[in-house]
Amino acid sequence: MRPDVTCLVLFVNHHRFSLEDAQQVGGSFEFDKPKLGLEAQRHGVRVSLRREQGSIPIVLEIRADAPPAEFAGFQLVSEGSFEAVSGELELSSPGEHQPAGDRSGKLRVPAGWLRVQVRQADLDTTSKDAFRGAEHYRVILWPAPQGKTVLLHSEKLGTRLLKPRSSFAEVERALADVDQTARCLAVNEALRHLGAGEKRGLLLLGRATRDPAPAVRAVTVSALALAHQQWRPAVCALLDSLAGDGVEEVQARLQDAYDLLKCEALVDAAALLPLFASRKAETKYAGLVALSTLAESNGQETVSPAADALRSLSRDKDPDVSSLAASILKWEGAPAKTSFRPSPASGPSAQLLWTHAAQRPNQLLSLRGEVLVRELDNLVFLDAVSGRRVRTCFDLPSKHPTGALVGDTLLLANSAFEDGETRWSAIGFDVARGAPRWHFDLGSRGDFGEPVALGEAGVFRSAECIVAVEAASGKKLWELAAPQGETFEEAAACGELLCVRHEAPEVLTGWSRAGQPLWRVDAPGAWNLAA
Amino acid sequence: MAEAQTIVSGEGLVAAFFADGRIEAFELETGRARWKRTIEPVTQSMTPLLVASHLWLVDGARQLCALDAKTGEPLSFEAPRLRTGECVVFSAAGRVFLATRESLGQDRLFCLQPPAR
Repeated sequence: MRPDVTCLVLFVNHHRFSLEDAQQVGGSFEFDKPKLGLEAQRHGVRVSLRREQGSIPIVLEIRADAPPAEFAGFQLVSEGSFEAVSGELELSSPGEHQPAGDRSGKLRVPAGWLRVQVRQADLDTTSKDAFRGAEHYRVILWPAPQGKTVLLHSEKLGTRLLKPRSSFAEVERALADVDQTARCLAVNEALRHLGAGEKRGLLLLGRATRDPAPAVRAVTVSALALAHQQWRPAVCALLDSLAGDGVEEVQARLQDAYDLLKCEALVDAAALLPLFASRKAETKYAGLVALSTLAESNGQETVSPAADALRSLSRDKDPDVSSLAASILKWEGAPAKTSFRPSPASGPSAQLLWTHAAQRPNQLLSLRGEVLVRELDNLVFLDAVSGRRVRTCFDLPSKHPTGALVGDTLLLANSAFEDGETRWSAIGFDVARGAPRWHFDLGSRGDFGEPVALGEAGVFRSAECIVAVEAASGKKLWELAAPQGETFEEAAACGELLCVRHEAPEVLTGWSRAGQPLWRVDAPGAWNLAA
Repeated sequence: MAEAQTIVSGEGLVAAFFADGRIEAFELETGRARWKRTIEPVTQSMTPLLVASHLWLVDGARQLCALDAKTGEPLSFEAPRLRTGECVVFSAAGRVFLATRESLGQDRLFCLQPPAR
């Protein structure tokens, strides 16, 4: 049996992704401090990463037997077993789902016990904030009896910059290799040249976007788009290569495109029309999904050129295709940029003032007539009246998606994985200057949650402790340790008061701004504090 | 009474959200029932927002909707729709903002002006 190789890019969260039997998704993996490697359970495996969040290239390989033990280029290789009862697997990360296989997003494998080998590479290129790096994976599956989880290969991890490991000529040769997997890996090497500031990397990647293998093109487009935010060349390469490909290949790359690039200008209806003429329902469906994304953003401007094709598809014998085509046709007369219900003729009404094309907005804050949008690790300032972008603070010094605003200081908690442990720090970020104002070392006393603004102070909470710091200066004001046997699970500010939810036992406590205890009440079943 | 999954209070109102989609509103001072409706929120992770005399939430059709805090009557308006992902509702400067995090398609931030009181 020839190995079946799929290359994809998964958006990961919380240092991990899972590969599980599609009918048993949601295994009760232990959540602990991030450790690299593999954890196997009965119906799936969880892989722990060095990157906390971001796009990770993964090569998935399904084989008939065990792969050769050749680990050159990989820093950590581990192996485990799980049972794929349904013969379908789902690849996911918390909050994300990667359609790795067919339209349903399932990856087909032989049903029964599988051995899985996870090869992790370039772990030491991960940045200190764990948001960037060239970490990538090869996941190999083959039918085999149940066995123990073992570590097959490990290299001591240091920290190195994203430097080219192979010379330009070597990467050039690798990109011409007969084996498409070797070419996929060469794409990562080409990215290193780009990451190291060598524009010749783009030349190599340009070649890879024209590779005869769809998998290589897909991984190139994806990697370009997200690893280095070079989505414009990726879009151009994608569009350029649409014409000469078979419809299945176009479908695969469209999937990458709208999953990963999230770019309104990616394709237009005209580019999609050849797909609608396909005899394959899968292909037509892929094109329609792409079109529906565009239609919602651009309204009739997008739909009108494809209206005739859509009317024809709305009578397609495949019910998925016909219903999706019919639903897109409804946008034909819609105004651009919005997808709204009609306003009532009379009565109270809310009015849409503006919209902003955001990139994974996690939190909204406001300051002096501006709306601050936390988008990935950037903070975008929009004028609240017009929606106009005023400025952007790039690369906030925290990978955690939310913070608390006290005056001009955005309070952030940040962690760094160093020497086998996670260390936390509190950061006061001056939003006016766009630079950190102070750092405060919180140590390694559990994972810290979203900071809380309490008067002029910022409160940082983990299960083990609560630390209050002056927002303006970063000076520690007071600190509480969780009573023995108890944990601090949540904290919320209510005016002058800090309310804390404990577990074991389940109680609520109230604290003054100075950290003095005020009250303690039993609160069985309490789970969500809202100020 | 079944256990409420989320409770929101403000503007003299306490609104309780139940697992079966019921929303029940009570007067904050007296606890007297004010109104009840069944609108299943799209996600349990999104906390509804009580602002400008309206309770804002994303409904089962994945559209932002607003219920009058006094009567529970829905406000009809040009409602932004969430396609496939999660969202955050936020209020500042008398406006309501809906930020969507789509798993398929473009993320957006919508700014709405609620009706005058």
